[in-house]
Amino acid sequence: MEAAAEVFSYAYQYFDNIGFLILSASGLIIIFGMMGVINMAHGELMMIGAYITAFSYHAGVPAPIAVIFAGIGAGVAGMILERLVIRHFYKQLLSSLVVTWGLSLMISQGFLLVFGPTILNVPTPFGNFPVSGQTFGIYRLVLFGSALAIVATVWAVFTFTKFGTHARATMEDPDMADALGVNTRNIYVLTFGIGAAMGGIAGGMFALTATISPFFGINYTPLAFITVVVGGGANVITGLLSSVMALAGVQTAVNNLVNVYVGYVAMMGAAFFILLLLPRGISEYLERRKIRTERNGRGATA
Amino acid sequence: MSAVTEKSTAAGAIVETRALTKIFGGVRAVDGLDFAISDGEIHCIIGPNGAGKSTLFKLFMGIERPTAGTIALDGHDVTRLAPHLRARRGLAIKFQAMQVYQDLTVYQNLFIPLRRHHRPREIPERCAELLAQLQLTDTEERIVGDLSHGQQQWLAIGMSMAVDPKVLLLDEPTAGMSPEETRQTAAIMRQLNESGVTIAVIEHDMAFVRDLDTRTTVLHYGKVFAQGAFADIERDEDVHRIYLGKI
Amino acid sequence: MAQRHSVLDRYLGPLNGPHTMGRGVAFWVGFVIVVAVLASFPEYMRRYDIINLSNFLISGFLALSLSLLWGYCGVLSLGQAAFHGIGGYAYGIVALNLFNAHGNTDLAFFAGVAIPVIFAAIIGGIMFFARLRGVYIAILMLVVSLLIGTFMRQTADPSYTIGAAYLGGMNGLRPASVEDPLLPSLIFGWGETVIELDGRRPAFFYFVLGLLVAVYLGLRCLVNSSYGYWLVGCREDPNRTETFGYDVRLIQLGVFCIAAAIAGLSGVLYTAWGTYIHPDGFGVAPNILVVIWVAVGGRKDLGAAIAGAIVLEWVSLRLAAEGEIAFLVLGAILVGVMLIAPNGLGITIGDYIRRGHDRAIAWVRAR
Repeated sequence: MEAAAEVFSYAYQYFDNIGFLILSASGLIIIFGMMGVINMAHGELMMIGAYITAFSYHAGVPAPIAVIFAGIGAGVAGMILERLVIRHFYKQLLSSLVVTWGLSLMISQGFLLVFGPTILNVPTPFGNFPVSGQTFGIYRLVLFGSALAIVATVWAVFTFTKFGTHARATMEDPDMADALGVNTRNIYVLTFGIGAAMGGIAGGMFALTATISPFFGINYTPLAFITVVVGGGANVITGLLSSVMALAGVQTAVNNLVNVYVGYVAMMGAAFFILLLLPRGISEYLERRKIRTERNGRGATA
Repeated sequence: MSAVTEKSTAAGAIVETRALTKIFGGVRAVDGLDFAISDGEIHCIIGPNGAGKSTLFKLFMGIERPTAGTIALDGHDVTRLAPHLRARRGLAIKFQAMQVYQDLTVYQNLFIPLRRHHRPREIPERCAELLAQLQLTDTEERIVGDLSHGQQQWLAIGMSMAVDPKVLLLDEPTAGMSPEETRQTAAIMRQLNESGVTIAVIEHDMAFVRDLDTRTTVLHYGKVFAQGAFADIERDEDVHRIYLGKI
Repeated sequence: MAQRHSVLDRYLGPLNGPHTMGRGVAFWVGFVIVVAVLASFPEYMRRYDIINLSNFLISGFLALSLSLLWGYCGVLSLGQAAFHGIGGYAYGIVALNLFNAHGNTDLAFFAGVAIPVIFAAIIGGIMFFARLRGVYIAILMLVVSLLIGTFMRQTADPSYTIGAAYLGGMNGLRPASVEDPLLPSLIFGWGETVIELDGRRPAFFYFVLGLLVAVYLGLRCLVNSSYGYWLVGCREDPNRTETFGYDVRLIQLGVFCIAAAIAGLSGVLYTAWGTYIHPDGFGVAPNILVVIWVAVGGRKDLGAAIAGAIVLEWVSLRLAAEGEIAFLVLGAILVGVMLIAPNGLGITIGDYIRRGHDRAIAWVRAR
């Protein structure tokens, strides 16, 4: 029984870490993968989501609805930022990095000024369940499930809807899409808004497990960024999934073997190492392999 | 395969490929190519869009890595060498896309390649000579982005000439030039060739290729379709069918 | 124009060139005046202001290092303060260990510059030779800085001692035991001569000012030499530069190490100035500050970057008196300047002055 509990505990932590990384990174990867902009204010959009969730919850809104409010609020905030500032920096990668970092500073400091350094708390819902003597939170499993649901939804939106087709065409070749009558301006705003809304939802969901302060977002941006670049831009979904599976694996193992700090460092180290081997991320490597296998398959039948 | 073909001779080849292949996502851009540029010639490469011409130049320079096959420069295998090491062995390139430093002055643009083989105090004089040759006299202090399209093309060619190459690869040097500018470009190239530089040039402008009147290779689907003197190529019916007839 | 400045060019030739603003008589006269005014401050300003100004000048070094790296070579690092921190810790650790034996901090000063360079050579070598994309390098350097900070923060355990130096976690570097010396200010020893530069005294201010002028002029020579052209070539179009036979990776690595040395130097001076170094220097705030100074001042000019650092440090100090708004205002300044004057205020103003100057000369000639 001891061993079974041990195995379950590992699996539980692994899926918890996966869910955590997916939620942190999913909004950022949309914006980076589709628009090539790394949004350094992503963590602050999550923080906005967390605040909206906390305030709504304390105003009597049920937690799931509060999280949806968070998504809407952060999405609107993202669209405003895109229109006012970020659209001027699409073709300048490094400048966009710097300007979004400036925005992140403004948002977190603005919240500090308005709400003060006080910490907000929202109770974690759903309670616990026991496995041979140890207790595990149900909400963590909900996080994992939601993470998968979000990835699936985004995939469906970008694959099956007219907006998705237009968005992919715009990212492929903006001028051509424009010539074909796609309103590329709206596509950029909406894509950025969706990325921001996903950040807001993630922030809202984390709000139910973490303490909320104006500096809530600071730690998420580097983490989300690492997840994104390890995944690479060739295929957003496979990139994200392969990346979180690898990184969460390293983190979970080292966490248990040594401690949390070393686990975090090991994850960063693993990310660095993967980048050195595959400078364009795992997804590009997978795409290349897929093409090669397809070609070999065709060669064999011909 | 066209009737006009000549056996490419290994003797005297300064750039030579063996079974060179480059595959992009299942498309064979360059397909088992055996090709040679002889020392001291001007060699024109023509062919329909997508024939693999630009890819070939990128493979020569090392910007792209071949899927298979080898590239030799002056008798040495350079297939695995980085671009800057090939440049140090005497290879220079002007890509199809305008490759000048848009935000810098003409002098700054030329200083960087000239510095490869010249001391800083020799550079102003060499720069002025080069600019005279390129009909760009007295543009030293101008920002390159403000120059006309043709002038930028000449500057891009001049930057590649400035490293004193043995072999110069020019990808569409006359794109966007007026007929008069095109003629001047041909004259500059001949002058350069007479001073001992081997030149390979990709062109779509048949008037320009006719003006150069030199050994020409027709590429088609990444393979040599025809090779020989331009006059013979121009008379060849198969070449007309795949390419020239369309113009 | 060129003939008019021929006398100037004979003496200042290596300092002037296309990669720095200001090459005429007017600029150099202005430069001498600014330095003279700064040097006269201890005569009539309060001691407190001089101490602060010393710190602003120290920030100038950090701004120079990022301007060189980002503005000239196009390699942005969001973690430039990491080298500042490493330099500071290296200085402190070596000084604590050797001060009793040597009586000076010569070796500590050297270590504070050399160790950041070694670190930069290793990490930069890996990143540049793996040909990582620019954005990745920018953020990875931030991650590296944050990781070092997190590590340093959890070194409160007494087992984290290096000889006479105790890392001390959140409280910062301190002596390991009561017998060990305190963290010293700069003390240079050469044979019998000992020069002590206490961070609270004007002598330290003069030293920092002199060193900043020297590093500025040295870097001006560097960026206007052939090396400067290579840097600018790498910034504008690395692939094209490579086809001319230059090893772009080596050029980038070289400038990364030089920038680390200058950032390390600023860390040494900072630690000596306050006899204090702690892990907050690796956090987000110090890193973003460096980027703000350089982006707002003007990354593509060394002088503009220094001016950005000094002016914004002064603004921060003023704002600190108004409550917690300093960072909010600095963030707004950064975003505003990036939108209105993408090359930075210093460079935009410099361009105006130059155009006005040229027009004035043309007007005088026309008379």
